[in-house]
Amino acid sequence: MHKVIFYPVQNGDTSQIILDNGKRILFDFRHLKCGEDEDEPAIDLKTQLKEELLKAKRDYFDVLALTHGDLDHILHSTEFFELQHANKYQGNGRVKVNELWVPAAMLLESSTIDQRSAEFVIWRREAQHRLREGKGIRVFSKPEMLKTWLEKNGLTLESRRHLITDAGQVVPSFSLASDGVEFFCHSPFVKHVDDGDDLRNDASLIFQVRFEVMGVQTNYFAVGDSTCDVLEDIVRITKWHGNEDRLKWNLYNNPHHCSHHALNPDKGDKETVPLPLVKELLLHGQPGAYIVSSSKPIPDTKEAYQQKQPPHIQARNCYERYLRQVSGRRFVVTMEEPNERKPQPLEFDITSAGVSLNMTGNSGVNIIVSSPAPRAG
Amino acid sequence: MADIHTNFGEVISELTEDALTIPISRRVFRACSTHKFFELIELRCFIHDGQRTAEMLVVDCTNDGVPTRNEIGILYQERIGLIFSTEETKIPEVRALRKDFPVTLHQNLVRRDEPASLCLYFEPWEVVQRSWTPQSHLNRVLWWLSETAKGTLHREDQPVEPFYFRSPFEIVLPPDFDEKIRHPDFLLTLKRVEDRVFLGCFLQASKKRNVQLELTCLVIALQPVTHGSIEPFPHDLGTLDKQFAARGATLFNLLCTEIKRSVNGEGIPKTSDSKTLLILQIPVQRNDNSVVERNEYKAFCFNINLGQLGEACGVLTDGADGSYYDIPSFGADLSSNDAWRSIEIEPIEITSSLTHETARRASGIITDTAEFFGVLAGVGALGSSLADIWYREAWGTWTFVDIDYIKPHNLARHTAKHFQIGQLKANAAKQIVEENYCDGYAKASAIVDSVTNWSNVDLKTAVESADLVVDATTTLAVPRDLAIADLKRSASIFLTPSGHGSVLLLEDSDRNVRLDGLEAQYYGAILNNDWGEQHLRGHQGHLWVGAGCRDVSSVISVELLQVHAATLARQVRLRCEHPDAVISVWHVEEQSGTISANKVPVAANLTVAANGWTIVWNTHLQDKARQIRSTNLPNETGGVLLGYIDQKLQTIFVVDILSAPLDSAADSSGFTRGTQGLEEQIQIAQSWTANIVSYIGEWHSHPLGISTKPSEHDIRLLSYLAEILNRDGLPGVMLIVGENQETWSIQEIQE
Repeated sequence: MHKVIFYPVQNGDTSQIILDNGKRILFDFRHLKCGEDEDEPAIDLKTQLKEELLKAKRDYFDVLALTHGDLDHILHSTEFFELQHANKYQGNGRVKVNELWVPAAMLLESSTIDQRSAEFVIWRREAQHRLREGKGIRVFSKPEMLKTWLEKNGLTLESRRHLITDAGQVVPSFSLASDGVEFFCHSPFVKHVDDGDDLRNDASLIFQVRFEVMGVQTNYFAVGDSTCDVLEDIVRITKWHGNEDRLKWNLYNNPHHCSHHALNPDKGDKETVPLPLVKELLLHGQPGAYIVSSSKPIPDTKEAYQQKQPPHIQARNCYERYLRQVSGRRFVVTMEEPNERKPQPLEFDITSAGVSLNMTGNSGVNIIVSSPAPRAG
Repeated sequence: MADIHTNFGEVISELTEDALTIPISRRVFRACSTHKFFELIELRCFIHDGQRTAEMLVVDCTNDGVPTRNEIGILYQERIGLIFSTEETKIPEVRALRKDFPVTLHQNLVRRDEPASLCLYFEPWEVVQRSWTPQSHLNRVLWWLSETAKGTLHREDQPVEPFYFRSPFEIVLPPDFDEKIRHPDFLLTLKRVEDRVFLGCFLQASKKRNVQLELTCLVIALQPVTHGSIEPFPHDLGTLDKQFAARGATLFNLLCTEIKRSVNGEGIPKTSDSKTLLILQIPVQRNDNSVVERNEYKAFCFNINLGQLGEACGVLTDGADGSYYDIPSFGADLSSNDAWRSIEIEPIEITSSLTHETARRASGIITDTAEFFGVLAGVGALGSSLADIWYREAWGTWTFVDIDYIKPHNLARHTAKHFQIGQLKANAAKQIVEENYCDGYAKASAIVDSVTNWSNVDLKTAVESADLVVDATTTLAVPRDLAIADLKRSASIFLTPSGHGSVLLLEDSDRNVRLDGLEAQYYGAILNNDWGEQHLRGHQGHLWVGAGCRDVSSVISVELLQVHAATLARQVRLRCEHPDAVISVWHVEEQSGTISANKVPVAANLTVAANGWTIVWNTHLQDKARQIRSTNLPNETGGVLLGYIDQKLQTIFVVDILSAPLDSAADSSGFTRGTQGLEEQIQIAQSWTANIVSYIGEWHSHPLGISTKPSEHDIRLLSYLAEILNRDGLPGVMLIVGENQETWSIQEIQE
């Protein structure tokens, strides 16, 4: 049985794939200081992950995939992981990362002086260090700038080609045969990082993760932050290559905390209308599919319709419409499950019988004993 | 409800809490209203004689735990009927209302055309209701659906189809059912125990004619069928036949043959029975060509008598004279007649008698260690309790040996019953253990004799051939005689006089340390352990009373006896699996009931022959003597020997070696044993061991470089001992301890 777990980190992302063979792939890391407060609904991510690793008798993740460098995807991560490029980020119970996955943009982005100690800069140094060392790293896409950077560092593209995966390729570190999983890379593709010098947010990692258990396949569309134009490009390119199969999903992690920008730049009054190709992507949902929104609760209230920042109720309405249309199951919000008071990690089990949402941790007693009780007076 | 759902119960027009009258259904109504995954659809009720007997909440239950593509066929959303009875003693029912809800494990058997009934709880309602809440009930429904969909809802001990409605009868099959079912000379007969329970047993076919039967019972062994998926209950004979046909077995033809065999050409009266029972043995194989893995048993009841059944099947004809007769068949295909297909069948619960295998499984015993022959010597209170325990666990096949008979006072502790007063204990024990099982199934033997009467050939053979001989005679003599007997391995068990202690002595499997040597080491342990002082307290100068109970006045409650019997039965069983010798002692703390266990390390025996006597001591004592010698070097040292003498065996058992009294005089050339505290020490030894252990002789050491050959002084000392001890008819015993060497000397004054 494989697992896909989404952690309640408010408007941000952290999810983990645990394979049947024990390998762990963590996507993004957003630790909220406020989550350490037991009265706070958001999870204390550091403690949660540490405990999970302890139970599994591990001190490392097989893969840490940083989908892009925005703070809501890496917050406090440089305090948690062991970084190889500098001693000060080592030891003291820091968690090791065997293989770091980053989009090329994250390795190349420039920063201002003020940003020197920003976490994305620290990760940039780490990624650059690993690429120079030639191990423990995978870079997604190879824009011209990457080649230039390599040359500047006295390296050739050829010597690092095995560490680079382009859109349209399957990540070589995993296979259906040996791990029961493959990661098909949809994004970033060169157009986006090479389109001028603007290495933007929308160049984040997007995979179709395909699980296989006893011949039964389950597809998970893992989208970091992205916008509708990127998604349209993905659909267009994938279709052009005759890879429509790679657009199917049984599980869809909707981009950018349920922002309407992932559907249409126009939010709409009651419901966002997806751009034609985004709509096509949504219609690739399979019967019984789930959509996960890694975000704060999305209530259907009058105020919610006025709200500027994501999550957008109009976007939710759109997703739910298409979910119904493909006979999907449920639109699940990380900060709503099983309740808004104390959300728990969403744990999807992937077996030969398909997808199910693990409900065992949801009893009142389990929830109470899994975290400190509110302070008594 | 839509067509896809079973129309069950009467609609209540309103969907409000007030429309419900049963408190529990109102509580669940409220829980459903706030539950994220339950949506109330409508309310229904069940009416009997104008009274509302139950209410049903029809809900749609959405379940994220159900895998999207489960092969079982449970859907993400299922329509469920939550039924609550006006009778508080009835467990809430849960029905899956979808007509094509899959047949799965853990469903209750339901009547024809009723919706599937989910078996949610393993325990009876009276237990469940103690922790039951409406919310937990709803969550349990979710759990049942998701676990069933995942195929993980499984408990070994749960019957595949638990009975929802009470079956009219219950049949207990005999343990030899598989063996005799195909035997033409035997017919299964059913003996009614209480109202609805029948005990089955096989009788010779010829005898059965004379037995007045209440029910006709047809027994059929089917051809092997292939392991299949679970099927819905067949409500008529035609469906039953079809289900078997699909799995590769024919039922109908065999049924016809069996009906004819039962009628036996003589005809049967029309009015004989009102019902007919059918018992099927169904051998199950994994696939068409594999071996039979197990037998399943099913039983059904027809609400017609054998004649009517035969007539419907086309094998009997109404003779118009009050009887049905066999129609001679000429190879006609009877199945073309369809009347039999619609005969209704009702399920009957079927259980199997206790077998050795099930008894062992229930006790966690593996068959490899349980199949052996044993002799249990002494079946008094303790022995009979062990016998009963071991037979209930099906551990071993035993021969009981005892010469005594049951007296009225024995019943206070013995397993015998009043009707057995006057019976010989060996026979009584045999009867009791055999009666734990179906008649004639379990086997035990009884030999009425004293245990060591080797002139009894049966007894001698039994003891010599047994894999294990257990002495529970609670006598001193039997274990000492067993120690020198030719046998495979023996153990001795007994209670202490107070009833608070019990003891196990078990020989090693090579018999290097036998019961007699273990007995001596056991006394040594009493003298050298904290528990020793209290261990045999309450003795009246003689040991081995207690469980022997020959002394009517001895007071040991049956509670204590059974505590020890259970401990000993288990420990003998467990320790026998290992080759090592065992000395173990248990004490029950009077007030708290705590049982403490003391395991005494067993030393290798040392046997020395001297002057017509055998001396039995051990390496532990040897080490002790050498240790005392070396700490006193360069001087000599010594002290007294404690032990006992078995005159019959001409054996001297050494129990302990004491160090020198403080007032002893010693130098590098000699040792004079003093007396300070010695008398008291010997009294303690006597008192703690129920006067078994006492002074038996003297020991002293020789310094470095001096042999252990007795010196002139030593020879004089030995003569002195012999002379004085002769007053009690005992020999003089002297041990000399040197560097890695000892010499025993014995002298007797010849009469």
